[in-house]
Amino acid sequence: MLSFLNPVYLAGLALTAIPVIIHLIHRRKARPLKFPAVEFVLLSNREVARRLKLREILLLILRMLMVALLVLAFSRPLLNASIGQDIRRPSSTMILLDNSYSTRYQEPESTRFEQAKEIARQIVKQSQAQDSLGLIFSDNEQITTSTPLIFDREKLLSEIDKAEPSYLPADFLGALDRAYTLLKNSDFLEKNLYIITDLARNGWGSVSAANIKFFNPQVKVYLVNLAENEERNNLAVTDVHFDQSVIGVSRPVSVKIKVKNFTSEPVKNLTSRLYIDGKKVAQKFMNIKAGDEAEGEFRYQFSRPGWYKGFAEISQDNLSVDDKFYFSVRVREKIKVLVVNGDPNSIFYKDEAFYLRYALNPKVAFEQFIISPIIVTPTEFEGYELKDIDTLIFCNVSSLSEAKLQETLNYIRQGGHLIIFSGDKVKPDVYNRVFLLKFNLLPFKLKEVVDTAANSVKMNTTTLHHAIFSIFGDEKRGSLSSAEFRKYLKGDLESLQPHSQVMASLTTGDPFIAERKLEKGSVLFFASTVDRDWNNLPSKPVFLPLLHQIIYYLNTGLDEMKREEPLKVGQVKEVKLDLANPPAQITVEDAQGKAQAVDLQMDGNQPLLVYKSTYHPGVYRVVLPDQTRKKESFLFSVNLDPSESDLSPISEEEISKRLNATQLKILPKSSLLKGEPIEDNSQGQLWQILLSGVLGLMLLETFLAHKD
Amino acid sequence: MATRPYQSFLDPAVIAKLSHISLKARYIVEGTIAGLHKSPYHGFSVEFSEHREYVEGDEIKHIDWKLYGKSDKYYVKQFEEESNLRGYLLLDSSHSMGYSSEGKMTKLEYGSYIAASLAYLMVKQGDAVGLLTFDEDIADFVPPRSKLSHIKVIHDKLENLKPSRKTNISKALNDLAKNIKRRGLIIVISDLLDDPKRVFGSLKHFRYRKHEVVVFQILDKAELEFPFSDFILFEDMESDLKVMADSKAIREEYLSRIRAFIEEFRDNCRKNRIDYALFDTSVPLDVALATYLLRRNS
Repeated sequence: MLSFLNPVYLAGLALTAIPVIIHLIHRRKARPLKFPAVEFVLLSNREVARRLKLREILLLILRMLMVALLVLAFSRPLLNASIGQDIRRPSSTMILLDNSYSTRYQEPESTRFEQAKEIARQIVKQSQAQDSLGLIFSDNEQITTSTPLIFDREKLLSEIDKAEPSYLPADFLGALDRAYTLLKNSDFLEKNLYIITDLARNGWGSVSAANIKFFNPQVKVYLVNLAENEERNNLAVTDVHFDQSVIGVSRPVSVKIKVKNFTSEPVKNLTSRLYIDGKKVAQKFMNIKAGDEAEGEFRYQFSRPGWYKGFAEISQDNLSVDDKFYFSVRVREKIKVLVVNGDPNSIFYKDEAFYLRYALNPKVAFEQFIISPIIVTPTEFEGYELKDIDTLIFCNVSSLSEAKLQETLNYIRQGGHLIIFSGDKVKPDVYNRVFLLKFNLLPFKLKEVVDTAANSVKMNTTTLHHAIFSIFGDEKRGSLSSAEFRKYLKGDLESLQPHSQVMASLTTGDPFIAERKLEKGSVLFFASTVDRDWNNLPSKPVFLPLLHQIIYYLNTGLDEMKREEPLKVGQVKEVKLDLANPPAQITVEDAQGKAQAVDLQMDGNQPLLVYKSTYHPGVYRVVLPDQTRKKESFLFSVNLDPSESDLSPISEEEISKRLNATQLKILPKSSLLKGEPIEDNSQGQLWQILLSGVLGLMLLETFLAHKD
Repeated sequence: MATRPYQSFLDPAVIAKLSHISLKARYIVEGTIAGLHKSPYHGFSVEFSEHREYVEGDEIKHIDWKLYGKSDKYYVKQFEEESNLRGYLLLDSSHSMGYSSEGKMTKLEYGSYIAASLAYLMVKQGDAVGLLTFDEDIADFVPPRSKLSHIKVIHDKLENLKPSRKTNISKALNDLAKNIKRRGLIIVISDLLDDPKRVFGSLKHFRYRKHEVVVFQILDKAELEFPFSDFILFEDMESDLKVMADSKAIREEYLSRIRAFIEEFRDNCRKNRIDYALFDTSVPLDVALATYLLRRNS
C-alpha cells in the first residue's frame, strides 16, 4: 500500500492544470496580423501542424508530469511493509532503548522513557512478519535483560510494555557491543539498529566503532532523539554528608548538602529541605550560579541514639529523580569507658592514664565527644559494677583478683570489650598464667619486653588492613608510621588463640595490636604503653583518632568504620560483619522495604556480605541475627550516579562519527509518536526517485522545446 | 492611398536614374520598328484621338464634317502621333496589394511608383501607354496614349487608387485580351498571389497573341522573409481566412513554399519568354527598376 508522509501536499496535484492553462492562455494571446500570403501560412501550418501538434502534446504531457512528480515527491510517498510479504528483504532489527534515569525527564504529556517505549512499539508494529527483532537497554543488562532477535512480535511488545526506566546512568558502549553481537548472529543481510535516546552525553564517552567487538558498518543505524524539544535544564542534589564521623545524641551536627545547577541560568532562592525519618526537620534557600555547584548546610540535633534514615531534597524540576539524596546515619549514645589506671601518678604527665583520658574526651570547643571515660585505680575497680560499661581499659595493670577477672570475662562474653595496654607492670608470666590460661583474656602468650632504644620500631603500615585504620588515608597511614616504639611486649604468634587475629604489626614483625573474640565481646591487646613510657604515640596527632576508632569499632561494628564514597545505584555493597557465629544468610531490606536473603561469604576469618541488588536509590537495611544493644541492624544508603544528571547533549554528528555510520539516519520523534510510517532505506526512497524523474523530464522538455 | 500631387510619383531620384534608360520592346510589334525612336511624322496620325472646337487658324482639312452635319458646329479632329509601341500597365489593386510591413510603402504604392515611372519613360520615348487596374475585375482602364499630358491622367488614376476586393489576375488579363487589337507590351504589376495555373494560362494567352509580356511581382519583405517568431493569428486580407500558427515553427516551411512559388513563376515565365522580375518593397525603387531595365537592355 502506498502511503504518504505529507499527504497534504497531494492537493498540489491540481497544479498539473497550470501547464494546460498556460498553454491555452498562450494560444489565446496569439496576436492578430493581417497578412496577404495567408494561403502559404495555411499550407505550411498544415504541413508542420501534425509534427507540431505532436510535439505540443508531448511537451504539455511532460510539463504536467513534471508538476505531478514534484507534488508527489513533496508528499513523500512510501511503500508500506503490509503491502505484501516480499516488498523488501527480511531484516534483523535491534532496538536499543535508553533506560538511563535521565529518560525519566517529564515532558508535558509523558516522560521521555514512555515516549521511547511508544516509539519502540511503532518500530515493532511496522516491521514485516519475516523480520527478526530484538530489544536491549542502555543499562547493558545490569538490571534489565535483553531480548535477542526473535520473530514473536507479541512477546517483544510485552517486553517493551514491562520495561521501566532504571536508576542507572547509560552505558552505550556495553549496550552497543551487545547489540552488534546479537546482530552478528543473524543470517539476514539487512540489519538495522534503532537507538532511542535523549542524546545526553553521559554514557557515550568511550563509544567508538573500534571499541565494539563485532561492529559492522553495513548495519543501518537510526537515531531517535527523545529530547527533540531540546529542553535539558536540570538541577540535582549530588551529595549529602555529615561533618562528624561519629554522631552523638543531643549534639548539634552539621549536615552538608551539595546541589549542582546544570542549567545555563543562575538559580536563586532554590528551596532545599532536610528530612529525617520521613519528617521535614530543616529548610533553607540556596543561590547557585549557572553550571556551578553550591553547598548548603543544615544544623540538627538528634535526641536519641540509633539508626536514622533521611534525605535532602530540592524543589522538583522535570527530572525529579535526582532532586533527592539519601543518607543513613547512626547516632550514638555516650560510650562509657572505664579506665583502670595501673600506674597513677600525681605528676600528671607521668600518670599512666593522662594521655588516654584527654584523648578519649578532649573537651575541644564546639565539639563534644561521645566517649565518657571514668578513671579508677585497680583497687577501685575491684568494687566497680561493669554492667553499664561499654568498654574496659586496663592501662599497665599488674594484677587483679580472680573474682574480678572472672567478672571481667563474663562481661566480655556478654558483649563487653576489654583493651589491655602494656607497661612495665605487665609481667608476661603473670599475664600468661592468669589472664591467658585461666581467663582467656589474651590473644596469645606474652614473651619478653623488647627494648629497641637503639633502633626505634614503628608500625608496619602494610599490615594496617583492619577497618579501624580505614579512616586513615594513605597520608595519615603515613602519620601512623611516624610513631616510634622504644619498647614493646613481644607476643608469641605461635600461641595465637582461637578467634584471634593480629590487627597491626610493628616493623619487627611482632604484633602491635591483636584481638581475641570471646563470644559476644572481644579483647584487644596493645603491645606497648598508652603513655609515653615506651613510645611517642600519645604525642602524635593520630593518637586521638586511633583510640576513638578502636572504641567505636568495639562498640559499633565494622560497617561504620569505613568512610566510603556514597554508594551508587548498581554498585555492590560489601560489608565485613562482626559476627561471632555468622549464619549462612543475612537479610537485606531494599529501599522499598522488600527483604532478600543474601548468602554470606568469608573473607579470611570474617564474614562478608556482598549485596548486589542496589537497583533503587534509597536507604537499605541489613538485619543482623544476633542483635545486642551494641550490635544491631544497620542502614546504608544508595544514590544515583550524578553524572547522568548532566543532560548536555551529544550531537548526532558526533555519534555518526563515533560509529563510522555512513548510513546513520535521524528519525523524527514527533512523527513516530503519531504512528507515522518509519521511512527507512529498505522501503525505498521514492521521493528521491521522483525528484530524479523530474530532473530527467526537465532535460527532455528543454530539448524538445528548443528542437527546431 | 493618400492623395498626393501626381508629380510625387515621379521621384526625382527615380527619374534621374531612369532618364538615360529606355524601355524597349523586345519583340517586333505590328507595324513598328523595334527600338526607341521618335516618330518622324509629327502630326501624322492614323489614330483619331479626340475632337475639339474649331478655332481660327486650324487646318480646314482637319474639320470633322460628319460631326458638323450632326451638331451644326465646327470641330477639328485631334490625332495620336503614331508610335511604335503600345504599352499596357496592368496594376493589381486588390486588397493584398495594400500590405506593408514595418509601416513603410505598400505593395500598391510601390507598384504605382513603378507604373508611373514606366508610363513616363514610355511617353517620353514616344510610346503610348495605358493603365489598367484590376482586382477581381477590371477596376479602371486608361487607353494608351503617347501625349505627355497623358501621364497626368495616369497619375491621377494612380493617386486615387485604393486596394480593394480580391485578386483575380487571370480574369483581368482575359478581359483585357478581348479588348486589345494591336499587339503591344503588357506589363503586369502584381503580387501574383493567385492561382498560378490560371494566371499563367492568361499570360500565355497574351504571348500566343504575340504580345510582349513583362511580369513584375511585387512582394513585401515580410512576405519574402517571414520574420515572425511568435504565435500569430494570420488574417487574410482578401477573405475571412484566419490561421493561427506558431510562426517560428512554420517559418522554414513557409519560406520553402514562397520560394517555390516564386521559382515556379520565374521558370514558367522564362519558358514562355515572359520577362519576370521580383521586386522587394524594401529595396529602393530607383535601384530596383534601374537594375531591371539595365538587365533587360543588356
